[in-house]
Amino acid sequence: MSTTPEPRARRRRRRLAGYAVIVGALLGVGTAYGFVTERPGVAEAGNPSQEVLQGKALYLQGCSSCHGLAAEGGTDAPSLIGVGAAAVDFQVSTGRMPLQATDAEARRKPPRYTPAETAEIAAFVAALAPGPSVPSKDQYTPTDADMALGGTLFRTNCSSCHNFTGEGGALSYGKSAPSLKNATDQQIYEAMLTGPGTMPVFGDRQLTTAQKQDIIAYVQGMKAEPDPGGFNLGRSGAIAEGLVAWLAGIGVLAGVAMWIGARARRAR
Amino acid sequence: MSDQVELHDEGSVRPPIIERVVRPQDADPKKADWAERKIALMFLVSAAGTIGFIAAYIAIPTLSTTKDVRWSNFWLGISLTVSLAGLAAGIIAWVRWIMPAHEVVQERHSLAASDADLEIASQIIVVGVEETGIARRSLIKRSLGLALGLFALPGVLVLRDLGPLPRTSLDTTLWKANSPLLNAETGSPVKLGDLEVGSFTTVVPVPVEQMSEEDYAKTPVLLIRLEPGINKPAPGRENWAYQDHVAYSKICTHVGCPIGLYQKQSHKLLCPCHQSTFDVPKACKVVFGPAARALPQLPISVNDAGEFIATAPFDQPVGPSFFERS
Amino acid sequence: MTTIRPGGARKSATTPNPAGPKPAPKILKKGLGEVDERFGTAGFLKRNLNKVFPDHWSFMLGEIALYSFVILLISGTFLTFFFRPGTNTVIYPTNGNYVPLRGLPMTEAFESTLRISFDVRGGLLIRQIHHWAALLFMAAIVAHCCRIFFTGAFRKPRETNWLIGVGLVSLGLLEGFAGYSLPDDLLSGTGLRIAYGIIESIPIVGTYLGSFVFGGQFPGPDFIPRLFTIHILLVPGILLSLITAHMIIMWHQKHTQWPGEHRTNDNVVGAPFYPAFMAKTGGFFFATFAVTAGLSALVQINPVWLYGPYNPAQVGAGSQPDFYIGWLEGTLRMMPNLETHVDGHTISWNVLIPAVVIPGLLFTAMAIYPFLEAWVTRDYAIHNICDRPRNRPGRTALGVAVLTELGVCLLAGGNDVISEKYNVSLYATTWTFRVAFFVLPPLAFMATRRICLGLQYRDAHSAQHGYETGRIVMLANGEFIEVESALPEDVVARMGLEYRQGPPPALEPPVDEHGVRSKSRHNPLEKVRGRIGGFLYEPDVEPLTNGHGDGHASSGHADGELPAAEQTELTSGQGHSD
Repeated sequence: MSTTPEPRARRRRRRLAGYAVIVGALLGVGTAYGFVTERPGVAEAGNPSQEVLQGKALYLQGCSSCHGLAAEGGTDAPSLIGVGAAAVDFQVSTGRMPLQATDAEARRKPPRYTPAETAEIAAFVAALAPGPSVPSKDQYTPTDADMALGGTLFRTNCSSCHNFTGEGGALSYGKSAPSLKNATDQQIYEAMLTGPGTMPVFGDRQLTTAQKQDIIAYVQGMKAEPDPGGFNLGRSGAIAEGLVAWLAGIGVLAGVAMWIGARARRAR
Repeated sequence: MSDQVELHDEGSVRPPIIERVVRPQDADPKKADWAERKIALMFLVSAAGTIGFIAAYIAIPTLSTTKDVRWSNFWLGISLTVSLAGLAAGIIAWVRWIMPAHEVVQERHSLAASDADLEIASQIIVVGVEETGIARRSLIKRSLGLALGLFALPGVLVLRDLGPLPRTSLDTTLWKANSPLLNAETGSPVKLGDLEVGSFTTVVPVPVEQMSEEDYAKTPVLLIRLEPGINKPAPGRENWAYQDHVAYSKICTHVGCPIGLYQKQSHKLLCPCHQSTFDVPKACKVVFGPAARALPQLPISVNDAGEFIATAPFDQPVGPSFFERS
Repeated sequence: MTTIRPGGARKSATTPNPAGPKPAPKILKKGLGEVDERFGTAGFLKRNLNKVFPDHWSFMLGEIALYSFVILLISGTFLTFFFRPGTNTVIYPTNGNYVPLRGLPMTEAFESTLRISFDVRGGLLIRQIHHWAALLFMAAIVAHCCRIFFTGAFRKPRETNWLIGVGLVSLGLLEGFAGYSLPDDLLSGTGLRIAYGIIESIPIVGTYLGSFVFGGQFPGPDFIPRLFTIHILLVPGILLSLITAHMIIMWHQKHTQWPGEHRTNDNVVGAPFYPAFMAKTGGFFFATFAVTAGLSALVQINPVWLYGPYNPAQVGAGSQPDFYIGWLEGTLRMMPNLETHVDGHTISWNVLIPAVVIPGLLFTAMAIYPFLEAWVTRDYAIHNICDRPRNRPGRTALGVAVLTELGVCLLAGGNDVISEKYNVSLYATTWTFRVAFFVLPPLAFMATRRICLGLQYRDAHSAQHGYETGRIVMLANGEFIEVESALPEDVVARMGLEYRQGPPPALEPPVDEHGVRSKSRHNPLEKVRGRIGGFLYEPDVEPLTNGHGDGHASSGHADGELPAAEQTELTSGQGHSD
């Protein structure tokens, strides 16, 4: 320590130097680390084994605690051997998996993995045993689809759980058939193909690709279809209508009646 | 003006006033004029609504899309509402603000006639009965009773052809031995291997267009493929399933809704109408809800072409229970 | 300052002309004379134009029903010009306005409904007006029926009108069900299937009745056309004649009125029919129509195109009937699965009890209630004054219990919607409603009776002591009291204290003073009468008099004795209060 006070410029340089060393060290170590570790999530196209390995890593990290280290299943979760890439893509892209809590059923929530990561996990599961693969865009995008026929198919196979236009419905044991309002074409296709949760399976030999496209055209079309009669009350049916009739209808009219019968104001 | 109650007898022009009410506009003519203007405004708004209705109607010569219909419904409806509401508000305001608000009174006279009138009326009835002579002439009485009583019968009888007698129509369906299981939508036979594990589909014995509506209401059957080993056939029904495929009537035994709700994980069929729940591996016996009977099972097999067929008709009537059903 | 000069003389139109009424113009007298010579109209007008109608808003609930009925007739007639009640199959055109159903086979009934909604200008609006008016009609009938019940307006001489009303509500239910089943869509068709199943369950005659009503097995080719005739001809005809009878009886017997100043059992106080009441009721008609039109413009109702055409192998989750049938749906859902098999026959209690027995009991009980109440209370007098519900704790509590039960059934009818919307287990809702069905009504009964008695007590207290003015006064002896000011006379009159229920009539002693056994006391029917009376009509609190004699432990002074200082304060308080 010098006995005389340092000139200001030199003091500033010393302080700055300290910061420079720290920043430089951080950058150096970070860069070195970056080179040393693998970069996750960047699948190289045309390198399936790489995808599968990365998927396995993600699986072990996020899924194996319930589904088992070899995807053999456990007390809380079913085996994933043979479910196919489509099932994984559905469950992960809708955010149902990973489960937040062991509720009665998995519900849609913001997805935890990016589409690329989802594809990797799907590739890993698909590699375990053959199962339905992720549908191609041609398969799930309705082309020349018959929305009316799709409606008939929907009403025969789907509406008893999901309601006439896909608003959702109650099932046994605390489960429910979800509303389809957020479902994409691909997710609807995959759900029919794999039967997630307690939903039955509608394989391609039972409902052909064309029929599935009709159903998708119907579901998405109904979402876009305007309601000609006014506000649709959630398309939930006569309960809501009855409530409106009582509250708005009788309520307003009782109010009018009170106005009619009210005591007249007296002059002072 | 006196505030006393003036009791007039009938013949006075208006009912007597029991409480004279003087409102601000009764005392002040300016306020009354102002009230009149407000009422006039309400009626003018109503007229504007009516004109709006006419304009909205003419604005679209023909409806061609759902959007058109929505626009038209909205504007026609709103203008109609305005025109009606304007009339309503104007008329009610007119009563409340301009017409007198005095409370008037009216006596309730006894609804009953005088005792004398009651006596006379009763007498007339009695004398009239005597005039008919019916009291003495029992032959007239009895034969009239017979004639009039019989009259009820033709009235009921002509209703006989409203519909056929049920006879055994409720007991059977179109399903019989070797009926094919046809996809209800496409009409093509369901083959072994079409259904994955955990799938189900609706099947009929004859293409839908070839059935009457009444037969169609009873014949739909659910063909379900269970996981291997899950099915526990009832005694005597061991060969009614085929390689984990089982077939049950789709018509609920409670009051007849079709059950399309198969829950794959719990193997339960849930009827959406009143929540009757059927356990598929256990011969669809009822586990919850108001249905009292299990769903009738259709025995199935597969023919040489690999297509599903029924091996026998249902062993009981399908659909809701009825009195004649054992 | 405006160019529109407000009408008439500078004098306000509401002060009567001191010179007496002007003579009627000649032309009016001539016209009226011509009609009078043929019909005797002048006498009729003289007697009836001045008829007095009391002025309370709760008396207008029946008018909502009446005017909704008129709106139904008008809108319904329009719909019949376009609707085709056919069950033959047609194909919806491939260039039809509603895209999701293009090219599909459907019944003519459904197709014509689509045409009304999507091709006829104003068609959807009038269809929606018709359905909203139907809901308002039923809701108003229920509200009106409750008003009549809770105010005791069904008592002599109005029992017949009550019976007509019970007929109207049951016919209204049938009419509404028939009406929304006409379009033959997937939702209402499911309801028809359930109706057939219910009819089938009736012992002995069920299958025959079902076959005759529907024209064969379900669905039956004749059923929609038959429903059409029932809906547009038979039931409206009966409804119209019953409503006319209902109004004529009410006109003839004059309306009931609330207790109040100048109001007695032998008069009616209010406004004259012509012109005031006519205008009020006319304005109210337009208001009812306006509300119906407003709902039809803004809120979609019964969108049959979303449900699709009826197909017996299809169904939608969350299928609901209209609310006035919803309570029956609830009873069907709650009922456990009881069935007995006897001698080769089946008796389906699981369907009979909820769908036949319970509504039968309800409507029968409603029909006989006025006679039952009169018998139990031994009250055969004529009643033209409405009861305040609090003054009849037994009847009010019974009514609230029945409404609670209906509410439980109504909610149970939507248990799957509740389960889905609020993430509650489906079976848990069924069990909850099953328990509530038995537990809630008695609780509601007890709570309501307590509340009524409490309100009565407060009325009597206010009548005796007046209302609290908030002025605290210190007496000479250091005690603080709050000054109470007497209520105005008309407020006390409106309490109707003299119309309170009181205890049931005393039973004869089992043995009279000569040792003769009383016949009535040992008659089993009389015993039942006494029991019901005791259960329903005996208040737990001592009969409340007009103020004196109730225990006021906290107020510190005995009845009638007030310290002189307080007396002064009260007197001066009296002077200030109106």
